[in-house]
Amino acid sequence: MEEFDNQSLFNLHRSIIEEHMDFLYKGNITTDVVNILLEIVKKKFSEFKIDYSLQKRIYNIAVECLENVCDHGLSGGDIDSIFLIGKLDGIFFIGTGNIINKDVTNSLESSLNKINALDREGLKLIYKETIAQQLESDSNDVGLGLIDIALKANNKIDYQIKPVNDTQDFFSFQVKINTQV
Amino acid sequence: MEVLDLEGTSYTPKVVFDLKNKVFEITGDSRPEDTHAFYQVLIDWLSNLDGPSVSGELKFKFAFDYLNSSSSKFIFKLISCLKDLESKDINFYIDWYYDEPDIDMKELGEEYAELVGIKINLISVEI
Repeated sequence: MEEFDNQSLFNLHRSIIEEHMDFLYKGNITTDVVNILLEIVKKKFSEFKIDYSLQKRIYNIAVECLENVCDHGLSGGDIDSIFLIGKLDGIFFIGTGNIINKDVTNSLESSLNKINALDREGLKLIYKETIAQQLESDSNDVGLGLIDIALKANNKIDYQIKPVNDTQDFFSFQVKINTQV
Repeated sequence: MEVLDLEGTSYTPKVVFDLKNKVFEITGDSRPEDTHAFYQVLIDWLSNLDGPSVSGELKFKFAFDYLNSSSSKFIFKLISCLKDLESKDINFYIDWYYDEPDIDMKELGEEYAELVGIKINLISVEI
């Protein structure tokens, strides 16, 4: 393995800037880490000087994204997760990447495709139905969080699933947060 | 009934259910690590309210700064429990506070009213 020298650090810094990332975290995303990352997201709001309504939506999306990784992603060893927030041409984006077991890939893909096929009114309807339908469910269902993200972002969810090995995939997820609702 | 008094944290709301002083409030952020465990305590408390022991009108105040999607399911459950108080002849009303620019929070209050079939007063707070 090549030594990580100052040139590598320079390249990494340049690459982060070129990709318009404002904050990037790589590591295990546990409940404690989620709390720390959300504090950082809140601090970014004053830096970005964005209005209250957009702050609320970005925070909301950050929570749901991080909780999805925390609750459904695999962690540990060399399969750390990533979380990033950035801004390009005035549009904020939030991204996550994490390892998932292949046995959840199909249901996750199906939920995301269903959500992406709906317009805003359709999303609102399915959000209401999901809250009421899951009255007896105690599980942290991934569906409602994803619907909430699509609604708050007012945009489609961009995702990619790449195989890592026979049993695991890498799930990358990105959402651009429309400044208009 | 015993007073339910939970201090708020950065991820759980402050809760006061006090029958003697007629204070019923949930305020702050809601994204508990175990949403079910957190809200079941509140649901159990409400379910144990006994009609004959309650006099006057009860005012329930919901004032969330933020709530995650998992919490929104349990708040639906909680408001459904409030609806059940009608059959115990307990008089109550619900005030749902939202920060004036926070249209999503306002709409959530409207959605609960529609889904549960209950009147919810929407109260805008200037920030």
